[in-house]
Amino acid sequence: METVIELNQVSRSYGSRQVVDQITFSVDKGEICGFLGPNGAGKTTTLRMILGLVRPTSGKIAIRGTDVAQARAKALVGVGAIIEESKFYTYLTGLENLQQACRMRGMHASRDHLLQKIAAVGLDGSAALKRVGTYSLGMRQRLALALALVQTPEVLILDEPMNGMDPTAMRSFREHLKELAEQGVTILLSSHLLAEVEQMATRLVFIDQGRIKGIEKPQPIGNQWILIRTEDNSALRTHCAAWGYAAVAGPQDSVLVAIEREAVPEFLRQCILANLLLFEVRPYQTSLESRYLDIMGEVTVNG
Amino acid sequence: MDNRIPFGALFINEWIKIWNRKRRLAIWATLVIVLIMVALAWQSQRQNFNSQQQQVAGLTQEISSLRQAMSAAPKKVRPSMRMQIQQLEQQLNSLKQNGGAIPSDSAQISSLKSSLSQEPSFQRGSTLEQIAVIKYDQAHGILFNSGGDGGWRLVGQAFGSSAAIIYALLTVGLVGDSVAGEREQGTIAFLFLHTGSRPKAYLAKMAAAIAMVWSVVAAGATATLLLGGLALGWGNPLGGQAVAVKVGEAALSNTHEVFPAVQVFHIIPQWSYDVLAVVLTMASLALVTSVLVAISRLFKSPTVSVIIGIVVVLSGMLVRLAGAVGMVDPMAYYPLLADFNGQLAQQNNSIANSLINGALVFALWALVATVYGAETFGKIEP
Repeated sequence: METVIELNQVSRSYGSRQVVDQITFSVDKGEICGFLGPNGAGKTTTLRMILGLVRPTSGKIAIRGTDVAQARAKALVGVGAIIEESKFYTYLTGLENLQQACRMRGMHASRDHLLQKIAAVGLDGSAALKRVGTYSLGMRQRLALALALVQTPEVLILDEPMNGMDPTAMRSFREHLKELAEQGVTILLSSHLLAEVEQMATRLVFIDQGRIKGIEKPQPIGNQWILIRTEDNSALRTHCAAWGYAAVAGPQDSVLVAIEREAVPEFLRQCILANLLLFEVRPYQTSLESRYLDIMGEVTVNG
Repeated sequence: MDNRIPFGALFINEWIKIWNRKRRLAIWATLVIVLIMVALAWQSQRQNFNSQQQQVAGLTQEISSLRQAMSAAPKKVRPSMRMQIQQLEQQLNSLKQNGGAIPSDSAQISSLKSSLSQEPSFQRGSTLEQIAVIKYDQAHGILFNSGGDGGWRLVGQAFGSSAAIIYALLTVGLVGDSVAGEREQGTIAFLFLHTGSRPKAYLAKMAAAIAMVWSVVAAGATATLLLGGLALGWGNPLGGQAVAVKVGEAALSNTHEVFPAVQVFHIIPQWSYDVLAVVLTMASLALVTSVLVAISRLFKSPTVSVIIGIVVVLSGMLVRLAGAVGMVDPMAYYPLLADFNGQLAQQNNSIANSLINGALVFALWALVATVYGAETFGKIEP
C-alpha cells in the first residue's frame, strides 16, 4: 500500500509548552484516517504542520514523499484542506473566495464550474453570490468543502469539517468522503463527532497531550476484537505481530487483538506454548466512543 | 499549488481584496480632502477679494479727500498733490483691472530689481526667482501672474507642498493594516494554504496597495482640478513655476537660514508643474506604502499597526527637533516636489532637503522594507 502522508517524530513547542511531542504515524492511499483527541490534544497543530502553516520544531512530514518543510508548494499540489473555523474573506462572496483560491493555485476554473462545485455541496447559486459575512457556520463549512474539492484533490486534510452541519448535510458529507476514498483520495480527518468518524474511518489515530495514544489499523473483514489480559503485553504484541494479527492497547492495561473467530483456539494455544500467562480472554465489542474513552482515560468528549 | 503562478493573478486577488475593503474610505476621504482644499482656497480667495475691496474703498476715499484738500491748498503744493493723486489712481486702476493680482509687467520687474540692491546678498535668490517667473510669464504672453487662485494652481499646491501630508495619512488608512488585518481576521491561513510563493504573495499585496494609493492620488488630482476650476476659476495652465531650485545656507548673527542660492531658475508651465507634483507624490507615496505594509507585517493588531503608521508619517514634521539624524527619516522629504522646488529646505532650514537626497532616502527605506517584508512574510504562523 502506498504511503501518502507520513509523520516521523514530529514535535512542536511554543516556548516551554510542548504542544505536539514526537508523533509518528502514516496514512495510506485511499484511506480515511480519523484523527481523534480531546480539545487541546494537538490535533489542529498537527494538521497545520502537515499543511505547512506551522513549522515543526523537529521531525519530518512528507506528503507523497515530498518534505513539506523543504518543498511546501510541491508537497501540497493536489492537497485540499479544511482548516478549523474556516476563515474566508467575509467582504467577498462565496464565489469570489473560491476564485481567489483558484487564482493562487493557478487553476483556470470558470465561473459556472465553481458555481456547480458550490451547488454540489448544498449551497445554492444565490448563496454563492452573497458575502461570506452573511453566512452561517454551516454554510461556511459547506463553502470550505467546496473549496477543498474544487481542484479534484488527491489528498484531503480536514479539521473538524462537520462543525455546524445539520444531520442531512453530515450524512451527505460522509457519503461524499467515502466516494472520494473509493476513488483513491487519501483523507485525514479530525473530528469530535465520533459516531460520524466511526462510520467512515478505515484507520484511527488517537492523540492526547501531544502524544499518540493509539493507532487502530484497519480490521480485516471477518475479524473480531479479542481482549487479552496478560502479565507481559509487549511479549503478546510481538507474538501477535509474528502471527500477523493487529494488536492495540485495550482498556485497563489489556491488549485488543483483531483475529478471525475460527483462529482463536489455535492462537491461544500458541500463546500458552510461548509461555505467556493469560489472565483474561474474552470477545471485545465496543463503540468508538467507548474505545476512545478507554484509550484517553477520563476526558470529556465533545459532540 | 504552483510556485510559478503569474504575479498578475496574485495582484488581481489583492486588488479585489483591497478594493472591496477600502473603496468606501478611499472615495469618501478623497472627496472630503478635495472639498476641504477647495473650500480653504475659496475662503482665501474671498479674503483676498474683501481685502482688495477694502483697499479700493480706502484708495477711493483717499483720492477724494486729496482732491478736496487740493482745491483748498496753496498753488505751490498742488503739483505734488496732483502727482500723489495720479499715483493713487494708478494703484486703484491696477487693483480694479487685475482683481487683486500683481501685474507681471516691466514695472514690477523694475521694482523687484531696485529692491535687489537693498537686500542682503543671501536673500536675493528669492527675489531673483520671482523675477525669473515674471519674465517667463511675459515671454509666454501671460499678462498677469499665474499666482492667482484657480484649479490649475490648486493642484500644484495640493500635491507639491506639505499639504500633501493628508494623502500620506489617508495612505495609512488604506494600507496600514494590510498584513495585520489578515492576521487578525485569520484569513492569512487561507492565503498561505493556497498560495505557492509567499514572498510573491507579499509583493502582490504591496503592489495592489500602491495601485490603490495611486488611484486615490489620480482621482484626487482630477477632482481638485475640476472642483477647483468650477469654484475658483481655472487659472492659467501656462503660468510659470520654479523647480530644481538650488538652495544654500546663509549664516546670520546667531543662526542660519536657507535661501535659493543660484540666479538661474528652471521654470516650467503650471500644468507640467501639476503633473510633476502628482507624479512625485505618487512616487513618494509608493515608497511610503512599502514601508507601511512592512510595518503592518510587524504587528498582529491592525490598530497598533495603523497608529505606528501615523506616527511614522507625522515624524517628518518633527525633523527639525531631531537635527541631522532626522534626515534619515523619509517623511522629512515628503513630498518630493517640495524638495525639488526648495520649499522644504527653506521650511526646515536644511539644505539636505534636496530631491536627490529625498529620492535616495526613500529608495533605501523602500528597499529595506520590501526585502524585510518579502523575506519574513512566509514565516508568519497563522
